[in-house]
Amino acid sequence: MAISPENWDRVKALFAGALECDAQERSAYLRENAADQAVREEVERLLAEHEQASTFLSKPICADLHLERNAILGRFAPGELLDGKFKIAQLIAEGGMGEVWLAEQTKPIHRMVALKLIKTGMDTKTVVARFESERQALALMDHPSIARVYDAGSTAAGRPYFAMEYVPGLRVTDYCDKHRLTISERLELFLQVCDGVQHAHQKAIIHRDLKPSNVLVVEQDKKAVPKIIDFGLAKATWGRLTDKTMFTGFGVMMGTPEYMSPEQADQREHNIDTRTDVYSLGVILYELLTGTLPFDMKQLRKLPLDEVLRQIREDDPPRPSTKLSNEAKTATKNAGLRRTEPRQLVRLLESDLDWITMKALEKNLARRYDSPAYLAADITRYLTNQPVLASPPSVSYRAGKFIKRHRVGVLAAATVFLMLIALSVSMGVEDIRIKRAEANLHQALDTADQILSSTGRLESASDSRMNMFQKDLLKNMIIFYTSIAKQNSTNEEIGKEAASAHSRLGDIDRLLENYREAGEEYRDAIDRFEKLEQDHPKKREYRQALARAHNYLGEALRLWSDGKHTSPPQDARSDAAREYESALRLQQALHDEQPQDAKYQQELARTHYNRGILRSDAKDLNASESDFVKAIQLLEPLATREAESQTAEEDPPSHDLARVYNNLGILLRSGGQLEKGQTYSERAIRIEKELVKKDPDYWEYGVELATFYNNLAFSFLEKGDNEMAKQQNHEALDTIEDLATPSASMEYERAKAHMLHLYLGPAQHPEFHALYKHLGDGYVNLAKDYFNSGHADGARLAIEALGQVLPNVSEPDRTRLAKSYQELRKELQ
Amino acid sequence: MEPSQADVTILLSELTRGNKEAVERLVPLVYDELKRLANCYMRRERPDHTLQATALVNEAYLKLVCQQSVNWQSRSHFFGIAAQLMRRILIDHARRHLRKKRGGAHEVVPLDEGLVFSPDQSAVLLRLDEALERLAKLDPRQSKIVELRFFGGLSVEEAAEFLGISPKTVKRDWSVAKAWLHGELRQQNGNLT
Repeated sequence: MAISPENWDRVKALFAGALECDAQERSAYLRENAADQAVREEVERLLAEHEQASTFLSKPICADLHLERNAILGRFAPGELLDGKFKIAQLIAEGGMGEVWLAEQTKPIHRMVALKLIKTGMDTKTVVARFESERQALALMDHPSIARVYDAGSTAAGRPYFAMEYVPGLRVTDYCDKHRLTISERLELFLQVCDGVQHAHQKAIIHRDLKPSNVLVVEQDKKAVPKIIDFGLAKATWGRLTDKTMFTGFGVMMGTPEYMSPEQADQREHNIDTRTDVYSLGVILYELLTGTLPFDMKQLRKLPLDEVLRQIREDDPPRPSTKLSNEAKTATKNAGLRRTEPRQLVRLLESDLDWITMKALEKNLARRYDSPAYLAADITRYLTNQPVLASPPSVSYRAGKFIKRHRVGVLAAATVFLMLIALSVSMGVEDIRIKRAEANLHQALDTADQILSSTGRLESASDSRMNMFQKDLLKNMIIFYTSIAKQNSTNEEIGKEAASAHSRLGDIDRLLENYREAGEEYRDAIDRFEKLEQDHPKKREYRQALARAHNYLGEALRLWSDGKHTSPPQDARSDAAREYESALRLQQALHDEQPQDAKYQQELARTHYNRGILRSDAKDLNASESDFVKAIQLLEPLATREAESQTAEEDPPSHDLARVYNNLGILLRSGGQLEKGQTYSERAIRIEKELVKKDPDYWEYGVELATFYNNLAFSFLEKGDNEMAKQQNHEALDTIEDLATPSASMEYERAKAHMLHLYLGPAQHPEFHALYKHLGDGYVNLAKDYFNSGHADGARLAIEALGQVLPNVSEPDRTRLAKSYQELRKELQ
Repeated sequence: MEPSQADVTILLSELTRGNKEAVERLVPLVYDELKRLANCYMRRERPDHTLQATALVNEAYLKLVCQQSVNWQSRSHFFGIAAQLMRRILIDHARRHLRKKRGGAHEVVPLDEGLVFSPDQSAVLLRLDEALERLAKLDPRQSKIVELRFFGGLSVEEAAEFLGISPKTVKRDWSVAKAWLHGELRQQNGNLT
């Protein structure tokens, strides 16, 4: 009897419902729920079939395909003799990489060995050959914490195998938990692991696959001894890691990415060095301390491989103590396994151990511990209550990233940060923790440099985009840098920092438009760098810094003499030209010596660009053009290379290029070459658009793009093409409008307001009334924000701007805004 | 041209990257091997043990199986396709087999554990196939689930992933379908006796 498709759904639901009941309750359930007799009978029939069908179809027909696995994998049978010398005993372990069998070696020596069978999917010959090539190096390793690898070969089924020292131990993490080792005991054990890895590194062997299952602990003379297994295997089995096939190699060989270093996760990165092992040691340390992994692998495994690798490369894991505090559920258990309480454990990990772990887990190779020995040394320092070298992980690195995302907010916060650092530097001297203070200082310097360079992308304090926070910040940084610049020492390192500090002070003064002071600082920096350069003629960095100081001194002088500033010295322009000359001479030499170095090339281009502006200010159009052209020639290849890389750079050459094109466009226009100028302006726009696309968070690009459109609009105006000019203006406005992202800050409002004002000028465009209103509202909000944050100066500027905009706003908004204007002015007084 | 292991590797990696077209190109590469396995199965032989002679499908299969952590989806996708292929191959095989020995008596076949077929059980296989066709009319998803689980050897989770439904639904459908098919096949046997 067939059931109709209409009733089938009902049958299915009742069948499922009935299965959930106990057998006795089923009839009652069906009586209650199945009104239709046909349906009930069908369900009853199926239930009866179900009773008989428990094994029916339970094995897939192509179970063979699965059963095949053993055959495919070429598993051993106990008792089997391999290569005439290994008698297979039993299967010990099975994992992502293959299986491990215990075997008895009969010749030439009688001993128990562990045979590791590698999963198929790779070229056995290659694996064995790679192992052979490393065999000599492996043989040189002799360390109590390293298990020996004796031999490699291939099974009859063609699978590669490795014969190695049999280590009947527990995974290091399991061992520690089983014996409830305290944090100190765990660290003692971990030190031995570091020592073993260091030993291998000295023999030029990198493990590449360190993880708890490769670090086993055995007890010898009642002492726990860690044994690292699988040395040399990773290279043999995934030596091809560096080429593109790693993608599949990953799945086959690695099984899990838990302990993989960021550089291993980067398919473009070919430089796997000993620091990769340091990273993996860091993960093991993390696990030993907290009982959890830095990244939540359960979550990670749900993601596509690309995303997993990206996270490993880019995301910062939480500090061990943070992770523990966040995982209340497991914290009690994990603390218990370490014979302590969760809160005590968190306190124990905070600071030193957090920092040590995070330094081992640094993404940036340069900031990671150089070797297991350094990592071990810091742990020893911790255990003996000495100050550790590690310090809060990569504050500056992270600050850099953060700044990139939220340029403005961070700058304000950094003001406070710098003050704190300045304090800690002065206090650090009295404290035994001098080392840490020094580390702080270096990080503070890095951070400050980054902040400065991000601020330095603006021209000067009168640049509408620089806000009061930034100015305050710069002023605070003077205090900071001055304390360093005062240093007079024959020590090269200190001398360098002092010279840099003078240069930085020059930058700050230049940005704050204190050109006289800027000039003095730069001259001081020049003297110091000249001395360093003479003492260390081989070090290009000093010549580079010297050239930069000359260039910036030129900049300060040029800006001073641009007609917008008071009392420039008479010879400012010719002095500026001389400074550029000096910079160019040094930079040209550096570029000639190292034509491949992009940085030298870019800096040389910039100085040409700067001098080009000076020359155009001086109406020396031909000379100016030749500087711009020179800059373009230098920048074009860099920009091409950059375009290929697809990633957003911090200081991209294409940005310089866009600016040069823009200025060359203006220059040619002013010389009457409208068409040619227009071409360059359009090029500038095209490049800048790419930058906006690549780095949309950096809104300055958008603002600049709008400026370029505006310039092009001028060019059309001059040609008498009002329609095209208008179109460019609209593009400019659209660009600005596009900047209204959710992250639009008051700084953005301000920039937008300024730009609009710039574009719209006096009230000639009635269609922009709505925008004027918006602009007015923006200024009101801005002024209020400044008041709220205690920046009267900023508020004054905003109110002034509001006053300028008012006449262009139409009624009734004009009256409303005028009222706000008066209230704000009152508040100002 | 002989398909190489490298081809499979490349296609698999493309599959893991989400390139669905890779499946289409992968199928012809592994089809022959599936066929060989099906033959072995029908003749009740063990497939040969030498790895060297193998085994694109093994290669493909192992690579996917080993990628436990990675891109589950493409793995079940691959097996979903393999299941369909396997069913087709086996049924074709069974048909040919029966045609050859036409006139022979129909046998009553025990529905024993795992429905282990012998070459003589081609008839049962065909009946199962026919029953599956009928089930497909009643409930296409259930029919597909049986194909995936029985012919493809997919786990509940893999089948769920392939069909984009919850494992719970797969489990439920699977038990209904099994009961229903059991009834269909038993009925036919009964009629024959």
